[in-house]
Formats: sequence, structure tokens, C-alpha cells
Amino acid sequence: MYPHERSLVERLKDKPFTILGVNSDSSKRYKKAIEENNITWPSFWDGGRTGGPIATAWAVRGWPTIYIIDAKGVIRFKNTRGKAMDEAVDKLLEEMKSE
Amino acid sequence: MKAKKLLIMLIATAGLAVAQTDAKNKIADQISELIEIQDAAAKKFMDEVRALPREKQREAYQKGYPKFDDTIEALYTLVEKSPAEAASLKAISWISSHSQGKELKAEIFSALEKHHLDHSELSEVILSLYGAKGENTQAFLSTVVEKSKAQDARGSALYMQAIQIERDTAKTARYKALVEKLNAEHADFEVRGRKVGAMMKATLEAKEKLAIGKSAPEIIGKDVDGKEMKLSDYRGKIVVLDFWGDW
Repeated sequence: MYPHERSLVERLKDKPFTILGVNSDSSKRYKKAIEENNITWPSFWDGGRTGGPIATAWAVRGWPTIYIIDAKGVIRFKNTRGKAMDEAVDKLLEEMKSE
Repeated sequence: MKAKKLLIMLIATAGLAVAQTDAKNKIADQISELIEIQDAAAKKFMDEVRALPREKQREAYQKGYPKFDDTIEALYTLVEKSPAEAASLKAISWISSHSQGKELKAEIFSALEKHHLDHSELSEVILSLYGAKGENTQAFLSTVVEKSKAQDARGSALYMQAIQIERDTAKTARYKALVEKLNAEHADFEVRGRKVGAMMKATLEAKEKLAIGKSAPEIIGKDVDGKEMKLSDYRGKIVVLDFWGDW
């Protein structure tokens, strides 16, 4: 998933778009993952465990879980991955243009 | 003459009773032994796998987990011989938790309904049915919910009916109804010390808040270096919120 996310971030670097992670690793493992996989986007760090406060509030039971939120803060897609994720983001960018 | 005959009959009957008790104990022992041997093999194997480097663990696990088909068959045979035995419940739980989603044999469900419907230990069998979603399992769970006199067994069956469809988006309405009923009738029902009804209800409410079309709830948290971050800092941008872990 990292390569796909990296290419998405790269393709949309000039657009109003970000990936925002919520990471459930230990801080050590998280820092290592960032370095090794060239992760450039920000992440909340959820306390080093899967039962962390953010994952709990968002009722996350499986990882990865994805929510796509539009520019107004409305949840628009859930668990959209791969090509479908690109299409979803492109659709929301189009919407912003036409508003 | 008559007295002698009676005496012989008495002795024979007593002998038979002793033999029956022996046979029962023997079956209970055999069930325990089969399970112990298999569990010990699994534990030994898992200890060995855990000692391997992390990247080799999955492969070793897939390749070498001790086969348990023979144990399942042997346990089935013992249960069929003595379905009313308390030990049979233990055997059935074990079979079910090792059947990887395969449904229990139909005659096992009949035996459970006939001999164990009102035993609170039936709970343990029910809680092992998670992966088995076939018709017989469904019918059995309904029977327990409707007819069992054991509170815990009914609670378990209701809980199992619910968690089996928790992820099925076509059955959301039924799932909600089951969670409601679980909370209304079994508020104190616990699985491994956790009040699951209340937990499921909380998750359900959280999910409703997180449905497509709803405003994303604010997240106030910190990055790994302790710097405060908020989801709303990104308002005006499209956000792919990605719950992730490097595992």
C-alpha cells in the first residue's frame, strides 16, 4: 500500500489533498516504518496499540481502514482502496472545481 | 430356586450398572486425553514457531501446524457413543473451535438440543460457532434463544447470532435488533469478562455517527513527537484518513 499512497501523494502534490494517517504501531516501529517507506504525509500516533483512543472513537476493528473526507469535512467514502481510491479523490477534486 | 435366580439377576444388573459407569468414565477420560495430546502438540508447535525470526513465522505456521482431523473424527465417535455425557460438551466445543468454519454434523446439533439444551456449559459450545454460518447452526442458535432454560446459553446464542452478521451490510437492521435484544434481556452477559452487549451497542452508535454523508467527528491528537494535531486543521482539503500499522 505504501507505493500506491506515495504515488497518489506525488500526483496530487499541488492539489488540496492530503493523506492523514492514524498509526497504531509502537513509536519505535512507527519511526522505522516512516523512514524505510519514505512516508511523507502526517499521522496521528494512537498511543502504540490497536485499541488506542482514536481507533476506538472511530470504531476501527480492522487495519487498514480508510475514510475519505471531503473539503467540508463530510465523510464521503469508506474503505476505498487502490484504483477506486484515486477515482474517489479525483471525483471530489472535480466537485471542488465546479463549486 | 426362585431366590437364586433373583440373586443372579441382581448381581447381573449391578454388574451392568458398574460397567456402564465405567464406560462413561472411560469416554470422559478418552475425550480429555485426546484433547490434551492435541493441545500439547499445538502448544509445542506454536512455541517453536514463536522462536523463529518474524519473517519466517507465517510460512512455518502455514506449513507445519499439527493436523487435527483425526482427533476431530475420534472425538465425533466418542460423542456419538455417549451424547448425553457432560464430557461430550467439552468434545463438541473443541471440535467446533477446530473446524475452521465447517459446520458441525447435524446429529451433533440434535444431541445438543436433546441432552444439553438447559446446561449453562452449552455456552462454551455456542461461543465456538463463530465461523460456522450454515443452516443447521442458524436453526440451532434460534432453538437455544427460544427454548433454553439456561440464561447464559440464551445470551451466548443471541450474541453469536449478532456477531456472525456484524459485518454483513445487508443485515444491518437484523443486527441492530439482535444487539437491542441482547442489551434488554442479557445486560450482564459477559464474554471473557467483557459486557459484550454494551460494547456492541457503543460500536453501533459510533458507526452511525461515521456513516457516509455524516460530518467527520473531530480528532484531536498528537503526532509521534508529541506535537498536537487536529483533523479540522485540514478543512479545505480532501483527506484520506488512513488507520494504519506496519505489520
